[in-house]
Amino acid sequence: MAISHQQTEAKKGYSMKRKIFGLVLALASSVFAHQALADGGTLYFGISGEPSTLESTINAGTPARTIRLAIHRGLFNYGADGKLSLELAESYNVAPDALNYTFKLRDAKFHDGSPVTSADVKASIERMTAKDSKATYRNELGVIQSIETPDAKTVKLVLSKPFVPLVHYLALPESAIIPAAWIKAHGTDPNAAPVGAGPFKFATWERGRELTVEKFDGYYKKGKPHLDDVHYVFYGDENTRVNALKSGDVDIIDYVPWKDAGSIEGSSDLKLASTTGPFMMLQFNTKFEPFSKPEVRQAISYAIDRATVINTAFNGRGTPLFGIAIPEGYMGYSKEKANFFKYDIAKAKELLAKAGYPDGFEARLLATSQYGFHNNTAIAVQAELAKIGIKAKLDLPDWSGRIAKNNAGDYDFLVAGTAGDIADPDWLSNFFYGGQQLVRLNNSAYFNDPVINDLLDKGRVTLDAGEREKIYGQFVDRALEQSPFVYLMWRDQSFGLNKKVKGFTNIPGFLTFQSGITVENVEVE
Amino acid sequence: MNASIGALLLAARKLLTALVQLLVVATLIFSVMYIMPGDPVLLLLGADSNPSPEAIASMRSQLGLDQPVVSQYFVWLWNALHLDFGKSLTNGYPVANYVMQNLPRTLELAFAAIVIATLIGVPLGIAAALKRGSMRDTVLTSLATIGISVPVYIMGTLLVLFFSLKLGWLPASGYTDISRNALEHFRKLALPALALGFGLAASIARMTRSSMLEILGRDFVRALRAKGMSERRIIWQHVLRNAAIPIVTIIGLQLGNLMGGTVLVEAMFNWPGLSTLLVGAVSARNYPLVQGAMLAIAAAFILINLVVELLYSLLDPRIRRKRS
Repeated sequence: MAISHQQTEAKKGYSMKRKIFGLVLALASSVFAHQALADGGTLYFGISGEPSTLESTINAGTPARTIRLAIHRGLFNYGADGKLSLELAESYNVAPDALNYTFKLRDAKFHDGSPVTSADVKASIERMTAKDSKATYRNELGVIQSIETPDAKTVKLVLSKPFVPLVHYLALPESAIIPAAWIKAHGTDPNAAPVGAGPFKFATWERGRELTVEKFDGYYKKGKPHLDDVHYVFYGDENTRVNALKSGDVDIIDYVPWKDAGSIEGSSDLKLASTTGPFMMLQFNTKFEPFSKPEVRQAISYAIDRATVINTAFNGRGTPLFGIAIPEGYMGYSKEKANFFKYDIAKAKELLAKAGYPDGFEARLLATSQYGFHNNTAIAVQAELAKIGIKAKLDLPDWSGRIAKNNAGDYDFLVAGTAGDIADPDWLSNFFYGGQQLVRLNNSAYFNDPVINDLLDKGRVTLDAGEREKIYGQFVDRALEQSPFVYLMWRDQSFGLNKKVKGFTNIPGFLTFQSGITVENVEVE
Repeated sequence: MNASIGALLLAARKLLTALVQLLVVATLIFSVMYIMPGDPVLLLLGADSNPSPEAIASMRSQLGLDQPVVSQYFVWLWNALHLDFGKSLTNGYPVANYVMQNLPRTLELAFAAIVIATLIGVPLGIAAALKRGSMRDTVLTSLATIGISVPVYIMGTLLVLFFSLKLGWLPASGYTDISRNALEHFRKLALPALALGFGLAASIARMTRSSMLEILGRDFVRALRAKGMSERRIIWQHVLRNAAIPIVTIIGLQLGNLMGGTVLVEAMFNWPGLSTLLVGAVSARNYPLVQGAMLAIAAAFILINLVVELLYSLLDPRIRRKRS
């Protein structure tokens, strides 16, 4: 990477001297002494993969998001408490018709020293909504019809139709604000060094090994960040990642494998930051005849003992899910509907007979052998469904193969492990909405229910919170009745940390995958 | 004179064969990658999102993946002949840069494993052969059998458990560039090289032992002893030299095999070599990178075997004469 190359070289020399000095000390005390713990100001973060690029508008997985959340900030982001927090926007105003959003920008600077202005916001958003844009949330942000910049600190978004969840989509890591000048110069170069307004600036990327970011002195939050630099070290293999934490090679790791959670909790040097939020579910191809019938999908929901899945695939670290996967505290959640289904084989058989399959049927179950928890969830589901006569034939390609089959609708049903994108109930649209594109990654292929579509449409345009709550209540009723998905469990999602790491938060609910933002609060003892 | 021309001819013929082998490898890899289900574009456009058909189509044409497979193959081959191995699909970074960065690391790891294996294996094999049938021989031979049988990932796990997690002497994984911190570089090399070298040491020890025993039983050894030559001189100057060919063969063959055998060890120790690169590239269906990395591995394998074969003729003039 071209940027700050010299700086990096100089730093390397300095840190090498420091390291040698440290090593001499360590060697003096014991010949094979373990290398002294990282410098006070450095965090070594073992992440579960290497991003292919740092392209800010595409959600290419948690490792990329974790790093981008150190470099970039949006108008909003989700904070450590899981609530929307004003970042580059100092305040905002929504017109009563939800057609106009006005943002006042705070005094903030990009890493190149230039101020964050309304022109940068306009350029960043237009980059996502452009016709040829490949931005992940292009469809959602597509309602933005025009962007006005009355002055350097004011941005006005004019929408083509009301869209209440807009601010939530603007809070996603993919809605980062980047300098207009950078977009002009590097917008199409996937390898350009990123420039943002976040707490850390990009320093180096040693491909295959690690990416380093350094403290940005001009960050708009006074006194932050605390760390001098963060090394994101890539550990694709989960066992290696855990060993790296246990041996002190890194200070924190993401995606703790469920089998290792206990040993991390039990260690005197380590701690586990755990939350639930992501869930496991079954997705159906509703063109496959038995799965076109809601009774069959409901029968499957009754037939699966959730404890078997949790114990087989997650070492017992999860919570059964017998309703719709709406976390407690999110709009649409209700206690009584959270346990709509239960484990009831007799009821499952009865529903299956009613649908015309008293002896069950055969179906292909798509999952992946690449991730143990997907693979083992499929095995548990196969065993459970055998009890009601459904013979599931497992189809277990690697992850890439599974994604391709998923996107092509080449499955009868499949195991999915995911979470909603945002904390607004509109996250449900991505999963339940029918519409134009009926075969997608996250929907049940060809499922298209006009009642559900209508409720989701209404939910998007209704400003009044009480009214919205009612709409999503009706949605849940209809979704349970139709059951295009069968939800299995909430799975624990954990980070493993050395106890000397303070200030990191595993954000609860769906936002666990955006916890990287809290690195700005981290201190290392 | 004749012998050196013969050796040159031999080398030329081997080189030609090597090129044909590379072409076959390249073609096979290309076909296999395209037969496999999976689509790099879908992975590129998002982990958990629903890319629109337009975005997919536009990305596909941008990467040239909308061309017919056969024409993609010939374009790739033509460029490869001009030493242009293309660019990574995921970020446009040149494949050659990736390979040049990671290949030396894999070679270093394989070479370190061989050195460790030779340093352990040869002396143990000699020690066992000299006291054939003794307690020492039995213990060493049994150890070697265990060494060969223990899979490399078990060995690696045991080493990490003991040296990193229990004793805290060595890092559990990772890589530090030698120019940045040489000591740290070798500390991080130690465990993967040991894990890889251990099983190899066992097979080298066994080969050394049986090869030594075979030579020790020859008539010329008896003649040397009858002449009153010291046992030490017999062993070092005569027996070992004659026993060397099978040992060098096995070391050479193993070095070639290690090029592919590093996959597990690299993954387990997060060693950023060619295997790690390859595994990641296959997962991402990053076709040009897979092809480039495979070609590099195949080329290294072929080259090493070539060198080993030429080395025999140095050790044993009979082979050279027979060939020419």
